[in-house]
Order: sequence, then structure tokens, then C-alpha cells
Amino acid sequence: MASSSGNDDDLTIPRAAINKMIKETLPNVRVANDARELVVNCCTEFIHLISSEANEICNKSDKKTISPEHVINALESLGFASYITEVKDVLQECKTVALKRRKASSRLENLGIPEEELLRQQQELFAKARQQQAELAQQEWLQMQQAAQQAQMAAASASAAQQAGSSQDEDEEDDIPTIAIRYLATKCINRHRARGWLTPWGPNRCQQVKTFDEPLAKTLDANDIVFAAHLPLPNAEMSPWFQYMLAVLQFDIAFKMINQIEDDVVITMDAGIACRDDLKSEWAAKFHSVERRPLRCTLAVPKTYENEGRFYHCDPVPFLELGTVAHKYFLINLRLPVNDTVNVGIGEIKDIHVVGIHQNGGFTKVWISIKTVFSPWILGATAWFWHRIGLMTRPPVLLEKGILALGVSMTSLNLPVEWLSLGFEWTWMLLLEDVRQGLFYSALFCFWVVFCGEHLMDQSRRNRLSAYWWQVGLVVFGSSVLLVFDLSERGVHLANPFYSVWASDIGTRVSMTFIFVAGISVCLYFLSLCHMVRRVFRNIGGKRQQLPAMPEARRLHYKGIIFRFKFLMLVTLACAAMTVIFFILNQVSEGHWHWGDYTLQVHSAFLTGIYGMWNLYVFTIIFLYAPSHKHHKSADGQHADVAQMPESREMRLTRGDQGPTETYRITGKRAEE
Amino acid sequence: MTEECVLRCVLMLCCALLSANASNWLYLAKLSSVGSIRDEETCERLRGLIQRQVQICKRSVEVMDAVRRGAQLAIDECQFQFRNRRWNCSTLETMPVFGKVVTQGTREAAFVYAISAASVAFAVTRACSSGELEKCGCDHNVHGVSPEGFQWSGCSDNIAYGVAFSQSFVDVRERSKGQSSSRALMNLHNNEAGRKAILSHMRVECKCHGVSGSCEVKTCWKAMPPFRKVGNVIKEKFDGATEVEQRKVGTTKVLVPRNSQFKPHTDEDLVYLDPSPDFCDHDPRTPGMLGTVGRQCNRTSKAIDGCELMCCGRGFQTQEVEVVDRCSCKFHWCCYVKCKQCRKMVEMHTCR
Repeated sequence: MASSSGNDDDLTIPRAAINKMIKETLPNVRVANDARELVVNCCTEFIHLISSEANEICNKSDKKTISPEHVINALESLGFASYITEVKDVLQECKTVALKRRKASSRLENLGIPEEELLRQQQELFAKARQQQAELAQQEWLQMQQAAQQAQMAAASASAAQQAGSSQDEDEEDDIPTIAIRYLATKCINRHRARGWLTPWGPNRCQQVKTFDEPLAKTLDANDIVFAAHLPLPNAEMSPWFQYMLAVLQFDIAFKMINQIEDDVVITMDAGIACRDDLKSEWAAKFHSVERRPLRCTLAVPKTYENEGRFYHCDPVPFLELGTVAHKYFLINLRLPVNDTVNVGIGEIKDIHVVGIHQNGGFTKVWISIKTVFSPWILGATAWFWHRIGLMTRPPVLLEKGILALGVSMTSLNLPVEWLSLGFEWTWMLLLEDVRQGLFYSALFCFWVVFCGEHLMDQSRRNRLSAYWWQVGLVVFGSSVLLVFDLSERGVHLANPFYSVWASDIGTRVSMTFIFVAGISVCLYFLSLCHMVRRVFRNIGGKRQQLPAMPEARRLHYKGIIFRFKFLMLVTLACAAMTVIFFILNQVSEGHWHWGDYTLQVHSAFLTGIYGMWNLYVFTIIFLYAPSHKHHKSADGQHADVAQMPESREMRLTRGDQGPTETYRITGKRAEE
Repeated sequence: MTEECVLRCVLMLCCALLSANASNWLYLAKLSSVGSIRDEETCERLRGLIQRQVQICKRSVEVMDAVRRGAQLAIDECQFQFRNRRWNCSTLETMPVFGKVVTQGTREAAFVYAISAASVAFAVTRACSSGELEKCGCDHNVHGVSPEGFQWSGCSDNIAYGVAFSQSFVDVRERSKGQSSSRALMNLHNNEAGRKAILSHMRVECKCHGVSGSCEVKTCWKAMPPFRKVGNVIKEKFDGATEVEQRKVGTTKVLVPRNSQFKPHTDEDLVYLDPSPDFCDHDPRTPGMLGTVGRQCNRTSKAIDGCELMCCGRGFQTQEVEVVDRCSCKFHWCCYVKCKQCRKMVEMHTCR
């Protein structure tokens, strides 16, 4: 930033840098000014020497640019060979830095703002920030003053807490759908391995050690130690509104040269969970199991004596999954049994953290309300749709059956059975939710295929599901594979919430296969869907050219079909794009998304928004594609092929006396637009 | 005789008053004899606390055990980080714990303040998440206190409480003296920098739990870094600490780098006012200044742990010592180790 161009100092090494270097290497030595001057001159001289030598070498090898190799050769020929390894290291560092800087600088260049302007802006920002900082400090000071005046210290502490809350940039939003709370497991001592539950705090708290470095811990056997975690923390209670509860384990494992984590090590846990509904009563055991989990840890630093005491970074270990939160207090007891073969080579475990994840009560409330509101609408629409079809003289066509299936599956997804989970201890709710979602996706996929097929506008008749056996087969196959997979994980959770398919090698392989197969069938499905859409567009192109030559009614009929197809295509694509975008946002931003000055919260609003959008989508389809109640009466021979198809939006919306011809006119006009 | 006694008493009183600006509460770490701090009366008897800290202690007695663990943690970490330096963070059995070294505004004092503020935040947060403290999280919710807050919207993070407690307990010393003194400004800045070392190194972990375990629903949480990591961060800041002086900007007094060519320090950097002494020689007049006589040094190293620098040019003596080491150990985690004893001869260098 110092703009000292043309200064004599430019020809030498910056004095300040040298001063700093001297200070760093010899912090407690005073160096006289002439000595500093000398050091600077020496440095300059050294650089002159090296560069002229390098220049010579460069000339000799017929190059025009001095490269790092030349400098290194120069060092060698001047007898500074001992420096070379260090120089190479620095060179490597420089390269990486330069690479980064290049990326950054290209961004600056692309801005189109001159550098001076940027600099000025930067200075301005600095000044502003400084001022804000000063103001903030002033405010803080004032607040502290006020707090001090109030003699009660209670007030002071609260304000401090508030300050801490506000000073954390406001990403601590409480409007997120799920919440994770970290509990530090207490190390309880259970010398006689008595049965019974050990509580970490409260009236009957267990005898405990804070760390394993305590002298008391040295007398213990590993089998005497039970890690206990009480969910939730004091002064809080769990509630059925949480819907489900997951627990994940995080291990703090210290690195020690003589006690390292072995490769592919498996940790064995003797785990149990108990529950109760008031703080005084006895713990009622819920589940108990001995589980094995792979332990995947990495150490970011080299494994040397210097780094002893640093912690490994371990992947969170899935631990527990409860499909319902029917009790107020839960207690997890966890033992790591040790003998000659079990739990060997797992390193020096210092602590275990239990991360409890559950749905937010507020979110559940919103979610159930939405479902309660949506479900009568979709149910009504579906019933009305079926009634309309029943009024017609002909049997329903496949597309109408598809729409009906869509309506039914949406209704089943909407049914607010969660209300019941508040009163009953139903652990299979998670499974049911998965099945309902699966049903809806399958129905939606089948509907898209049938819809495309019905708009192919070639002469073959497809009024039966078997005509789409290939795509529908894929959907059914994929979803049943996922169902089996889901049953093998969440199904088993009904009996043993500690179970995890990912724990064993075979389980991992099988489930990966399942997911892979399901993924492939979904991909194949989408490929064939795309193919169908392409064929539809080709046919549309063909029909467009023939349109002028067609009789009036036929032309309008085709225009109607084309318009209808394009309309749904557009809506579907928009919905799908929105879903995918929000999904990706959710993935990359870990809950919040910084977008310039705006912090976009990706939370429950998004989830409910997406859900509402698909409800609206289904509702629109049902509403728009219901057959007109007038039509079945006025259908004559001329329009028989029209009645075969469900009507387009305009057909339904204009129920006036204009009759079908008028409707077609409007449809055609819209299609042209 | 009596006169001498009185004189001595006055002298000691003066000493005590003078040294009151050191982080005396770290003395809590030395109070293993008190046992657990259970009731309010114990607060009165704790040495090293100022009046307002005693009040905080009375108000939240159950936190004090965590504070004491924090003090111990700070001292241990300081000794680890400075094991190879001339001043190796050695403690005294009297107050102030680190002797007079930290009463001046040196780099070392900056480190001690930062690490101790961080350690209190760390220890209190840990105690919170183990359920030891009743006041954490939900009670001090950012959005106000509500009994049903947890059920509907969860709780604020425990780290917020830990940091807030550290702010009210550790900073109260400087706040009570007013902001005018440059030393108070420096201490406050370093305390905050220590807490920032935790806050800006929180690890984010996530778990996917959508349909069939897909990432349709993903929950993330923040985990505190291990304290060794916090110590390393603060040590790095110590190495790059900025020498500052007080200047008046508008109506407020702020600290600015003494050398205007240096980059201005950020919230996360440590600052100091006075250059450090060389810590070479034992000085009986300054407690804590133990000198490097008898310290072990590394002959091959050129850095500060090398014999040349460590011994301040006084030279060193070399001994052959037999060291009994544990080797080919078989571990079961926690508390049980089975080792062989290996003997080997090592050269040990100690400063003269």
C-alpha cells in the first residue's frame, strides 16, 4: 500500500521487512542502526551476486528468461549448495501461493474496475469498519456501565449472554426443521458391573471421573466405565412433537505414538437406552444391544512425537434411530467392553459426544397443519374428478386413471396421521412416511410416462398400462428395491433402534448395491422419458406442418393437445427445477446461504414451500384435466376422438353456451400465442 | 521487631495491590485442597478473585468447578505451548500464579490472558453439554427466556453461554477499572481474541437422514475444536502478535500498531504494549523470573529451544543419562497399559 515509487529504497530490500526478520530471529537483541544498514546492504549484495550468476547461467543455456532452475544452479556454483533444499521448499510454496493469487487476481481483473478505485474502496471500507468497531465498543462500554450500576449481578450476566448471542452473526436461527444437540457423555464408574442405569446428573448421579488422567481413573478397569448421556439437558424435556430422534456418536481420540488407531478397526459398544416420564421414577429399559461399528479416523498432522495429544478427526458414527419420541427423558448408557480381541487398537478415547437430532417442535406443528389443510382439498378434488369420470358414458381412459392414482397417492401423503403419533407410541411412523413418499413418487413418475405416451399423436393405441411396461416396470422395480432397503434399515429399527446396515461389510455392500440398482433404474427411466418427450416434440413439429391442410375441428383438436402438452411440460419443469435448486441450496449451504449481503435462510419455509408447490401441481392437474360435465352429453360422432382425451383448461373454464367449437377457437388461439 | 513486622505487612499489602491486575483467578487451579466449590461461603474464601468475581461465584456456584478446570486447562496448555521457550510458563505456589511475568503488558501476558479466557469458555461449554450446569442453553436463549422454547424452537448453542460466561467472569476485572487504561484495553482485546480462537475454529459436522437415509434432510451441528487446537491457534497469534500503543480516535481510546507500516491487527490477533524481557537470568526481585539455568536444551536445533539461544550464550553441560522408557506397549483404551521397560542412554544437555 505504501506508494514510495521512485524512492531510493526501492532499489534495496525494504528496511521494515529486514527489521521484522531480525526481531523474529533475535527477539531480545538490540541491533544498532548501522548494523541494520549493513545487514540490508549484505542482503542486497547477496541478491546481486546470485542474480548476476543466474543471469550468466541463463545466457549460457540460451534462454531469455531466468527460471528458478537457473537460480538454483547459481546457488550451487557459488558454493551455497546447502541452501538448495530450503530454496526448493520456498519455491514450491511460492508456486502454490502464486496459483491462488492468479485465481484471485483474474477475478479482480474481470471486475472491470481499475485497481486504484478498488484500493480506494477498500480504504473506505476499512475506515467504515473501524468506525463501526469504535461505535460498537462504545456501546458495549455503555451497556457494561449500565449493568454495573445495577447492583444485582444477575442482570450483568444476562446482558453478557445477550451480547454473546448478538455478537455471533445471526445465523443462530431457530426456524430450522431439525435440531442437533451435542451432549458430552459423562464417564460413570460401575465397579461391580451392577445392572441398573447410571445417570450423569440429578439426584442419583453416578460416581464419575472427569478425565482418564485423574489418579482415580488409573485404578479402573475399562469394563467398569460407562458413558452416560441424559437427553435432553436439564430443565428441558422431550416431546412427541419431535416426531423422531436420531443419535450419532463422535469420539475424541487423542493421538499417541505407542497407541495409534489401527486400520479398518471396528469399535464394539454395549449400548442401552432407557426412558421415563418424570424425574423421580425409575428408568424403564427400552432397548439394549451390542453393536459393532467401523471407526474411520484421520490425523491431519504427521504422526510424530511432536503431535502427540492432538485429536484424530473421526467420522460421526451412526448410533440410534427412534421412530417416535413418546417419553420425556431418555438415558443412554454405553460401555466399550474390552478383552484381548474386542476393542483393541481403537486409540486413546478421551471423550464420547452423543449428538441427538430431532425434528423441531415448531416445524412439526407447521408441517402437520399444512398437511391438515391440504388433505381435504386434494381429497375433494380427487373425489370430484372421479365423479366427473363416472358421469361419462365411456369407461375412463388410462390417463384419467393415472391422474386418479396421483390424486390418491397425494391424499395418502397428505393425510395428517402425525396427529396420532402425538398420542400413540408408534415407532413405525418413519417407515410409513417413507412408504407414503415412495408411493407418491412412483405415481408421479408413472403419470409422466402415461401423459407423454398419450400425447405422442401417432396412430397406435396405448390405452393400457402394459403399453408402458418398460418404464412402469423400471419405476416399480426401483421403488421396490428402495422399499426392501428401507425395510432392512428402518424396518429393523422397530425391533432394535441401534441397528445399522452400514455397520457390517456385507450390509454396506448389499445396501450400496441396492441404492446403485435403484439409481440405475431411475436414470434409465428418465432417459426413456426424455426420449418420449423428444418423440412428442418431433410429432408436434410434424403435425404443425400439416395443420393448415386439416379440417377446422381436427386442427383445433391437435392445437389443443399441443398446447396442453406444452403447458404441463412447462409447469413440471418449473416445479422440478425449483425442487432441485432448493435441494442443492440445502446441500451446499448447511442451513444458510450467503448471497452477497443477504443471508438466505434455507429452512422449514423451503421445505413447506416445496411441499405446497407439489400439492398445487397435483391439484392443478386434477382440476384442469377433469372431463367437462357438458361434454358427455353433447358428444357426437364428429367429436368422438376428442372426448377420448381429457379436456384442456380452456375447455373446462368456458362453460358458457358457445359450445365446443368456440372453446376450440380459444384453445387454438392460445396455442398459437 | 514489631516495627519490622508492620513494615513487612504493609509491603506485602502493597505487593498484593500492585499485582492485583494479573489474572489472579487462575490461582483457582491451585486450590485442589478446597475440594468441590459447592456453596456460597466457599466463594468468599477463594483467593485471587476480586469482589465482583466473588459475586458472580455466589450467583452461579455450580459453574465454578468448570472455571477451575478451565484454569487448570489454561495452565497446562500454556506449559505445553511454551515447553521449548525460555519462559516455560512455570507457575508459582503463590499469587500471582505466573509471577510478575504477566503483570507487565508483554507478549507473554497477552498469551496468558487469551488462553485463560478461551479455557473458561471451553470448560463452561463442556460442562454445559454434559448437563452439569442447569443454566445453559435454553435459559439464556438469544430470543428471550421461555419455558417451552426448547420444545418449539430448540435452544441456543452451549458455546454462546460459555463465551458469555467467560466475558462476564474474566473481563470483569478490566471493565471494573474503566476503559481508560491501555493495559485494560490490551487485556480485553486479548481475552476476546482467545475466545475468537474457539469461535472461528468450530467444526461443522452433518448427518443425512431423509428417505432411506438420503440427504433429502440434512442436519448440521457445530463442534468445539479440541483445546490443543485452540492452544496452537493462540500460540500462532502469539508469534505474530502486534506491538501497539494507545491512541485517541474521536472520543474513544483505541489500540493501534506502534509501527504504522505494519498491518493493523484484527480481532483475532494478540496485541502487547511492552517488549518482553529476555528471561535469561534468575531475578529474585521479580517472582516468576526463574531464568534458564538448568533447563534442558536441544543441541542440534537453531531455534529458541536450541542450546545457544536457550542458554543465552552461557554454554551448556552434557550428561549421559539412562532413561527408562515404555516400549512395545499393548493398550486397552482408558486405563490399562501393558508395557515392557526399555533402557537407553541419552545425551542430556542442560544450560549452565
